Amino acid sequence: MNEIEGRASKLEAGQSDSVEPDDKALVKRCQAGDSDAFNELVARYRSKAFMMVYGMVQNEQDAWDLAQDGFIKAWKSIHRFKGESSFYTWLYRIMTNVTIDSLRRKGIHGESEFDDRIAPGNVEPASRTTPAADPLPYEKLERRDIRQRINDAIAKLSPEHRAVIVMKEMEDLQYSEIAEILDCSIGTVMSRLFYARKKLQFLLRDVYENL
Amino acid sequence: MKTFEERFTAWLDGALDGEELRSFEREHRSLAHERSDFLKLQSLLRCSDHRPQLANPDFFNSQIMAEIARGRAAKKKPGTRSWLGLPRLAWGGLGVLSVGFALFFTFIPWNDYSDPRAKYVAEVLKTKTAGPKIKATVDNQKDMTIIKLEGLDKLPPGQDLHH
Repeated sequence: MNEIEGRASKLEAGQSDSVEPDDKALVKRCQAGDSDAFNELVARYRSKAFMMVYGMVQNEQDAWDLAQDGFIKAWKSIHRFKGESSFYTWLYRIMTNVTIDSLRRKGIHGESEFDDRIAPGNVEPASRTTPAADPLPYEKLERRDIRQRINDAIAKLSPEHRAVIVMKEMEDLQYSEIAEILDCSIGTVMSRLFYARKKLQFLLRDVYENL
Repeated sequence: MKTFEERFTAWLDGALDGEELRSFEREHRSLAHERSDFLKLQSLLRCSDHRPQLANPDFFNSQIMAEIARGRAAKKKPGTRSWLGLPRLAWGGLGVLSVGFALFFTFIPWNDYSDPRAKYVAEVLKTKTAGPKIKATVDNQKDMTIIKLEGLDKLPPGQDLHH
């Protein structure tokens, strides 16, 4: 575990020396009021930000609007960015907060976060997390049906659970990065992942068992 | 002390090592198939990740830059700021209250218990007195009216009731 926690952030490792100074320089120019520099930062991170938000809201128009809101908030508060994390991590945090707030405003809280059916006591020892479902032959499932099932399953997660699933399973971020973005402890991230994954297993078992 | 959820998640992700890993697997021997089950879910999620690319990215940028420009323009032109701003509303409200109080204290008569009949009595007294130095005034108080006559001569000693 310590090895994982101590591992260099993949994001930051990906942003090698040749990239990160550029971000810092652009941020400095932004802080001096240069909106062209911010335009460059937007161009650099718009696709990643959009996809992350889309993963959480599952709607293209909403993802577009929320990503824009996130960038505008980032511009308005860029003077507060101290460079303690990478710009992308900081931006990611803003995007996540904007998205979670939006989901909450829409009344999306997910189903019971600590569902008794998937409580630790019931997970152990190796109990299956779903009742046996009639197997649905994979051949009969169109690809879009599978996607729809996944979308439906993700839609049943709380905003916080969606966030950790998107970041871990789709963006492949480390626990420490997720914790920094969500401003919570690594333990909380792992706990949320546990329940989010269990819920997805519960909801999607018949799909992946027949792949 | 890590919770079961934390250890389980770390175990699934291959993030447990050394004694921690051995201890977890010793305690939870029956969880072996959970990992393969999870890997299937993970594979499903990753293979079916169909998140669309951002359409029309240049327009995306231009909208953001337009919003930033609007914000700057609004800051630069204080004259164009809305009159409905909170500080303005607060000062406006305070001003209206002050004027209201001033009007109230100026025009609202205080302790005015005047009885029109008292003024009439005073006028009659003034006209009926023989001496021009005699001055009649009326002082209205609550539940009473005091009529004062000033400038009267002293009573002759023979008619003074005190004597």
